[in-house]
Amino acid sequence: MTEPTTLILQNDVMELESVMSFVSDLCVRNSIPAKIAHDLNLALDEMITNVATHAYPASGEHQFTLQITVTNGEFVARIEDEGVEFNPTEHPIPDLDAPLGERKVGGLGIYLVRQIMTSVEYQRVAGKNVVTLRKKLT
Amino acid sequence: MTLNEEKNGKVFVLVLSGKLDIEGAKMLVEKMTQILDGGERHIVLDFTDISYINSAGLRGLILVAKQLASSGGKLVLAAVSEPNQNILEISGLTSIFTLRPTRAEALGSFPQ
Repeated sequence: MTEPTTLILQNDVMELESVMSFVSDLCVRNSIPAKIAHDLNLALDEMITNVATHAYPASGEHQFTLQITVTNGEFVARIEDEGVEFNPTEHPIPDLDAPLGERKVGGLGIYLVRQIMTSVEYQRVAGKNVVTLRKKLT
Repeated sequence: MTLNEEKNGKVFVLVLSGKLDIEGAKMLVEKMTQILDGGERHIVLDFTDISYINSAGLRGLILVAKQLASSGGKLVLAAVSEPNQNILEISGLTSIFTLRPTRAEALGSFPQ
């Protein structure tokens, strides 16, 4: 079990490298299998990219937080931002059966997160988006 | 991501290394435009050294598939790692792309 670690991030995709490095180290320290470590990195990449690119449409620097806990065989990531309201659990599911000509090129990021994590929870609290991602480690 | 190109008979092989993310996808789509403009129609993308694909990378791959389809070309993906293949499956892309376990098998899927 690890104590929660809170990372304070800027709304800049350049933050991804340090987050992914932190998560990879955490996975090694907690003997998390490579396949699960891959999925955790991907889910956080998609969520952080989404906040960094969409949460603050007006220019300027903003901070948001990522809190990570590994406990009782579960990885929990809690992302809080004060950007525009966005509920990933209600994000439309892409049409995966569309033939190539009609297939949309985007819209896969949030869908992937919901598929690879055990659960995705959303709350809007005091003007903040609070997203909790959980992944069972066993 | 880095790109290296090789020609094997009539097949153009593009060897990708690193992460297929937003930057990688941009490089791939630009390179594919050049390749198709140069008249190539039989393309293998070798994923042996691709460690990671995210949704921006998938977006690039779908764009490339559309480019190929509209120019009448054929594209085969070679040696996609298990975690990356899982992401392609979740995204419904294994029905759009032809995947082969090795570069040799990918090359073998084109007429000699």
